Amino acid sequence: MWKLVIVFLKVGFLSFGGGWAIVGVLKEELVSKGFLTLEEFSHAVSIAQMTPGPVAINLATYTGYKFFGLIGAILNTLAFLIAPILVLSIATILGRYVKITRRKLMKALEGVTTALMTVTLFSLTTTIRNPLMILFSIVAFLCSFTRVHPLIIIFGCGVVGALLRF
Amino acid sequence: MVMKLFFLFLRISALTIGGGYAMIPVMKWELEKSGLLTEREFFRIVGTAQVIPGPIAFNTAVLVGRRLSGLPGAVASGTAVILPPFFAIILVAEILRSLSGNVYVQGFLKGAYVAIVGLVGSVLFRLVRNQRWNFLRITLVSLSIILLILNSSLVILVVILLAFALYMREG
Repeated sequence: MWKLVIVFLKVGFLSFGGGWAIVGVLKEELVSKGFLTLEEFSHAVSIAQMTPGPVAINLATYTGYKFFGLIGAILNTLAFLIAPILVLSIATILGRYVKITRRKLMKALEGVTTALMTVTLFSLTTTIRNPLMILFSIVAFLCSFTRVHPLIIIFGCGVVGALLRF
Repeated sequence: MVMKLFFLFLRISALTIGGGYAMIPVMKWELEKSGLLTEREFFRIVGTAQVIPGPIAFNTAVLVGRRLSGLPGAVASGTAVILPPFFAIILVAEILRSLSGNVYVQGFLKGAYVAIVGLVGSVLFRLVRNQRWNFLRITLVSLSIILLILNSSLVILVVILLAFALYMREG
């Protein structure tokens, strides 16, 4: 159980710019260390996105619960939040310094997030093999530039997936 | 005030599906409507939340709480944001445990997953479009991507080096 908690503790420090940046890293950690199969990982990602709350915390809670029940869920969630709590506390102490450099840091972190998110996208696509599924990803990508709410796109593709039994 | 913050963030967290970035506009709207923060103040806080590791919705809530009523406010807001998803996940995990063999449920999750991949692509696309790229930035980011794909265990080192290099060049 501690191995799993440490994975989320570690990943917590890397989670800049929204949860998606670290999903790729999480996949490597969880799948290569044998916690989840690729199939289970893709299910966890769908569930995490469709329930309220930040994706990365949801993934932490879900994997913890799946393996070690309620205790696992609590420990994983907390482990993931240690990094932001720690940094927030330090930032409070160093408040003035952080304010001065915030803009530059934000721009630098945008670059970091770009790199991490590309890795995420790359690792997410390795689980897609069926050409029909690639088509649906492209449709979802294009739909995101219209006014259609992302949740409708996700549920729509889910229903089609259920009917076609992907 | 602490209770007010707690219930405000509890409600936002419970009712907003779609991750942190979906919650930010809702938070802005609610905080402005109740007159607790101006738009300017709110976006300053979101800016700080972005440079701290961790989910942006959680960080924003903690910072708003701290701003409005100190440490108790920070604790109340942070807790309020994580409670609803925690119980939602456990509920969904329980329901799915009994349905996991069902072909329709599996098809639904697969379909949703495929859509999510497309949406992540779209977030990345916007992120790339909104940055000012120069030769050095392209090289550093591409190099990091290649390194991470080849060996993901280097992630902490790569992230620190990349952040440091980009930070030094922004001046």
